[in-house]
Order: sequence, then C-alpha cells, then structure tokens
Amino acid sequence: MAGGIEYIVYRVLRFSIVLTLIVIIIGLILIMIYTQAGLIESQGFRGAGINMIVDLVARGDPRGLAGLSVLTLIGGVLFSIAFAMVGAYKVGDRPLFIVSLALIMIILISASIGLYIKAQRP
Amino acid sequence: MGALTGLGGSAIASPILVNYMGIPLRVAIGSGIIITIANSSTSGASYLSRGIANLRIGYTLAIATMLGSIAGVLLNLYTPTRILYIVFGAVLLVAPLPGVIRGSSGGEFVRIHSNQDSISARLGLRGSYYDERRRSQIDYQASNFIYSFFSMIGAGVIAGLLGIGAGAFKVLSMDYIMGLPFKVSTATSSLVIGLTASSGGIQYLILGYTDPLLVSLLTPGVILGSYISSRILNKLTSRTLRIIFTAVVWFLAFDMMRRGL
Repeated sequence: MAGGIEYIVYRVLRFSIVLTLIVIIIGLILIMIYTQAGLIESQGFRGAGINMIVDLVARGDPRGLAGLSVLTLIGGVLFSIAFAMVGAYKVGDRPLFIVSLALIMIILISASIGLYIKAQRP
Repeated sequence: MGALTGLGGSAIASPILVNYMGIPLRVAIGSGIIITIANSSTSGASYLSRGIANLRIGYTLAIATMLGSIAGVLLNLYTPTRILYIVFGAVLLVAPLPGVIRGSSGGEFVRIHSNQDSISARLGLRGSYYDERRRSQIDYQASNFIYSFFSMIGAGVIAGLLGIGAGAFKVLSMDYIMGLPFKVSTATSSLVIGLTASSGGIQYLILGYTDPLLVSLLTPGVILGSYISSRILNKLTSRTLRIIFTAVVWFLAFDMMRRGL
C-alpha cells in the first residue's frame, strides 16, 4: 500500500467512483420507472449544461441524477487534488502543494473559458 | 481495455458510439471525455494504492496535459467534423506505434536514465515499485523534465480535441523521454488521463456537448472493465498489452478515417 498523500487521493477517488455508481444505479432505476409511467421521455438529453442538471434535480426529474453522476466524477478529481494539496501542506511538501494548487487553478480557468464561450454564443 | 493499455476508455468507446450507435461525433467526444474520468479514477486509484502510479510525477505532468486539453477543446470547436474524423482515425492509427517499436527492440526499459535533470531532482520525481512478475523492487528516477513537459502539452491537446485519454502519447513521453519503467508510465498515465479529462470535460459539459444519460449507461461497464484490467496489469507482460492494444485500436482507426474521407 502506498504512503500518506497517495492513500488520501486513492480514498477520495474510490469514494467518488462508489458515489457515482450509486447515483447512476438509482438514477437509471428511477428513469425506467418514470419512463414506463409516461412521466418523462426516455431519450438522452444532449446539451445538458450544469444549469439544466441543477434544474432537473430541483424538479425531481430522475434524469438529473444522470447529470449529477457527471458532476460527481469531475468533483471527485477536483476533491482528490484538493486533498492532495492539503496533505502536502500539512507535511510541508512544498513542490507537491504548488503543483496541486496549479492543477486546481487550471480546472477553474478551464471552466471560466467554457462559460465565456457559452456566453458569447447566440 | 483503455486502462489496460493506458489509453483511456473513450478511445475505444467513442468510435463504437459514432460508428455503430449513430451518436454525433462531438457528443461522443463530449461524453467520452467524462467516461475517461471514470476509467482513470478507477484504474488510477487502484495503481496508486499499490504504489505503481507515481502521484508526484503524474500531478507535475498533468499541468502540461491540462493546459493542452484546454487548447484541444478550443481547437475542436473550430474544426470541421470531417477533419475531426480523420484526425481521430489518424491518432488511433499512430497511438500503438510506440508499443510496436518497443516490441521489436524487445526491451522492457527503452532507456534507463542514470542522471536526473535539476528540475526533476528538485521536484523529487523518483520512486520505486514492486514488480510482481520479476518479484523484485524496481527503483527509478525521472529525467529530461522540460522535454517531457512540452510533449505532454501535445498529448493534452490531442486528449482535449478528441475527448480521449491519449494515454499512449503520455506513456511515450514518460517512457521514452523521462526514462520511467513501462508499468509506472502506464499506471501514472492512467492517473494523468483523469486530470486531463477533467479540465477538458468541464468545458464540454458547460458547452452542452455531453449526454449525461449516455455517460450513465456506459460508466458502470467502464468502471468494471478498468477495475479488472488494473488488477491484472502488473501480472501481464508488456507484449501482451501491445498485442491487445494494436489489433482493436487499428480496426477502429480505419473505421473512423473511412467516415471522414
């Protein structure tokens, strides 16, 4: 078994995967039930941005859970980096702390670029 | 398959979605990159827990791949679909070549670097792992950091552009340029793939190229497949990996290029 920070990252990633699987299984079961009851349409929902996912979850639409699984996957990676950063800070591992911080900033910059492009589109 | 070869699951899944299930290419790319995160998180976590993947090397190189991935997504948005098909096919065609070349030379280690460069030394880019097949502890150290970093930007661009892990190119960089053992390169690449995919995936999600239902349907299979493959990687020879890798990827590559031409 690997050492401290590696073990934390491993635990966070594993947790995010387990959480994603739980969300997916519950979501798919509910989607099947809702589809058979005629409450929703069964096809995929392309173009589901974060706003739409939040809206679906808020309205109790099970398709929102499918969207939520995407967010838990990305969130899992983000949290694993954050935990590595905190771990590196605690043990005084400056290079790893700086690298982890840079990774989080790059993800935030990426999201900002996405939002900017979306705002520019008609 | 993706985890076993270090390529990432969507390089296999996206062509299948496009060619056999009628999913539009950009939606397959936008969904595929999210599936790649699932694949990477499963296999990367497993490799980390067993000390094969090197977190420090992975995170450091991920800075390059994530920046490249952002550029790749932007490139995707302004590239005609036909060109994307051809580029996708070409990348899949080229991806197995390093493995094939390594196979003909017959070596597990392409180049062992005895001296570290100053940046790699300062960042502490070294480690060791227990190789189950050799039944011994293998020590290694990274070198040529700058060259590897810039080649990783290229790998990141490909990953963002096509929504794939581009692990073959990452492995190439870590293996040939940094001089890491193949299994460490493959395992660390699995970890880097998820980080790279996160920066590109969040853009595709925001821009509406992701189908969450498609992701939900494919993710359980990808997670199961990558878990199984990450468990058997350390027991397999590198040659076995290459044979599986080449056959499937080339078949899919020709199929993608046919659509673009």
